[in-house]
Amino acid sequence: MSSGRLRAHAPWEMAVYGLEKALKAFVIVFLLLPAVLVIVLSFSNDSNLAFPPTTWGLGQYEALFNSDYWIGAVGMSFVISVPTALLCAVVGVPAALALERSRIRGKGPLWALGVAPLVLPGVAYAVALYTFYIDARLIGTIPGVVLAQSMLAMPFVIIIVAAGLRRIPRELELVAMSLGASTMRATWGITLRLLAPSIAASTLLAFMVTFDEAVLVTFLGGGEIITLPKATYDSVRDGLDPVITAIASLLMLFTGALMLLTTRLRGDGEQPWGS
Amino acid sequence: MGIVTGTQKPRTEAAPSAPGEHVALKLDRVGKRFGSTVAVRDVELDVETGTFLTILGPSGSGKTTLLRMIAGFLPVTDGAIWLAGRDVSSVPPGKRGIGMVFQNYALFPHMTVLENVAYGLTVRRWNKARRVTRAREVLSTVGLEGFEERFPRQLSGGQQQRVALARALAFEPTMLLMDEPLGALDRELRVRMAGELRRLHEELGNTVLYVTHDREEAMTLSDRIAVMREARLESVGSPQELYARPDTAFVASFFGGHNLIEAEAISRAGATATVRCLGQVLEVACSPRLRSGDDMVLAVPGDGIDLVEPGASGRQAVPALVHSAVYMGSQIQVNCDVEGRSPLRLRVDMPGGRSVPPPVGSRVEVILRASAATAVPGVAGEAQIAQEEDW
Repeated sequence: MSSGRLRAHAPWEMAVYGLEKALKAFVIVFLLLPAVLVIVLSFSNDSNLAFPPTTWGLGQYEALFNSDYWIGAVGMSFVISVPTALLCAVVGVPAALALERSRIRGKGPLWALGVAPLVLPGVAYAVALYTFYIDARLIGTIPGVVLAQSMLAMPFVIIIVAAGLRRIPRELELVAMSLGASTMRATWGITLRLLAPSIAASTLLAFMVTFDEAVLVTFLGGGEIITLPKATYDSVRDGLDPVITAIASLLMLFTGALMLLTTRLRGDGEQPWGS
Repeated sequence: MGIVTGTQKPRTEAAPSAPGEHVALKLDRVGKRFGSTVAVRDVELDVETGTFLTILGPSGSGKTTLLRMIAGFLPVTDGAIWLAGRDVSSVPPGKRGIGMVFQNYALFPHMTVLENVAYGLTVRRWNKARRVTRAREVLSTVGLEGFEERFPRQLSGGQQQRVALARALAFEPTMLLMDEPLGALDRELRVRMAGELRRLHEELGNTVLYVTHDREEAMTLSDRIAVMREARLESVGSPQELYARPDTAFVASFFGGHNLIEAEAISRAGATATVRCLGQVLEVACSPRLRSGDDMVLAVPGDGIDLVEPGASGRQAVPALVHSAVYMGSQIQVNCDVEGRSPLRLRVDMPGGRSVPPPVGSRVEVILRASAATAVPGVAGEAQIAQEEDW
């Protein structure tokens, strides 16, 4: 019909392509390279951090697993993160159901309240809680830290579960009810069953957010509660212990794996019926 | 020409007071208010056992709200709903024995076709063997043998709709409720599925309540049609009755697609009236709903108007200009503007076949056929708007 010749690229298009390439290079250099560098350094047997390493080995990992301090920090991280994630699920899932499905008034403000911690400056929140926690004698207690962390991680559960709910037509529950199922059975057997991947993914994400968090623990932990991020932070402040390269590497591996699992779960959430 | 089933009643008859055995569903002054807005007002309706009844109305007329109240998803705020002689107004949906089919199919995505169809039986604690036998039986009724182990997402839209239908039929409900079940299908499939729904209804003889805004669907499927407008039930009747003798301007325009022409009553004698319309004096049928002093219009179907060459008829002809003419095979749809009466535009359905559409802009004369016209209460403009919005 028209001339079959391919149109030449305009100069501005070339400029955009160039910019895109530069951006990709930037991302690789500034985000990935340090990560790769840390992993490489974790296999160094030198007693202080230097690149390139002069001796290679698993010395850092050995030191890590033989250190009560670090193992204790890992344990404490789980002691804080697991209850936090579960609390977020127990409170966040019904909250999302109420916000999406019920006819309660003032959903807008409630929604804003539910996701507010996402935009709240962490330090301001920590300072505010600190003064309150002193009076409530919650500084340095596990329940105190879990409670504070739950506030921070809750928005992730609410947002992900609400998004999952929006993909499940309401009619499914209505049909189940018309077929003779009780409201309970329709909600549990249909809606929550289809929501399970979203719930699992959001709980994992809440766990990860908490596992990585250092600011709140520093303010509210009162020196007794030392989680992995807090311990890492302290060790960097006190002088560079090369063990942190091993910790950082394992942490990246762990959160990376969890992240993959989360996306897999959420991907399944779109087609929970699999094949 | 019409199919007259024994269950049909003349619509002028008053509703019986006590629902008998033959009445599957009785709506007794049913109403629904959401705060200060009224979604459904004072609906009185009897659906006899074995009838295919369609609730037809434009969007926002309250038809879906009414359906959801019958299904039990919404509580009634006024009146009562009777199913098979039992007041079910406060009975939960699962205990009403109603099969429900939604527009979006609402199949359970994590279950196979067989599990979907058997869901109502599982909930009713049927044992597995009986469940599977019954589910297979219903699936074969809707023509889906061999699809038992598939998942809904592996089926086409039409197949999914059949599964939804089979699932609603499996537990032998006293009544089937369908909310625009063909709305999501493309035109060709819609026509085919409508034919199958009708065939299935005739085969099973079940009571069906069907909701749609599509008048053609309503016309081809139903024994009776209930036309809804602005939260009220406007009129109930067989498709033939509503098309040939509409009783309000809205029914004529929205359901029949009739022309509404201003007319003036000269005299009235029972079911007939003498009116003056477009300068002609006509003796026409008269809607029983027309009270003296009401605004009156003449409802004339497109095939109740003849087009002739200028001067070919006598004094009774009305001059008009052809605005557009579309050849549609069996008929030619002509829109013409009546001269000196703008903006009165009439739709005329001429026989098609070998006829040639009149050229646009040409002068013609229109003749209203008195036998096809009905004098109805209403105003021409208002109902015309409803027609344009929803056609």
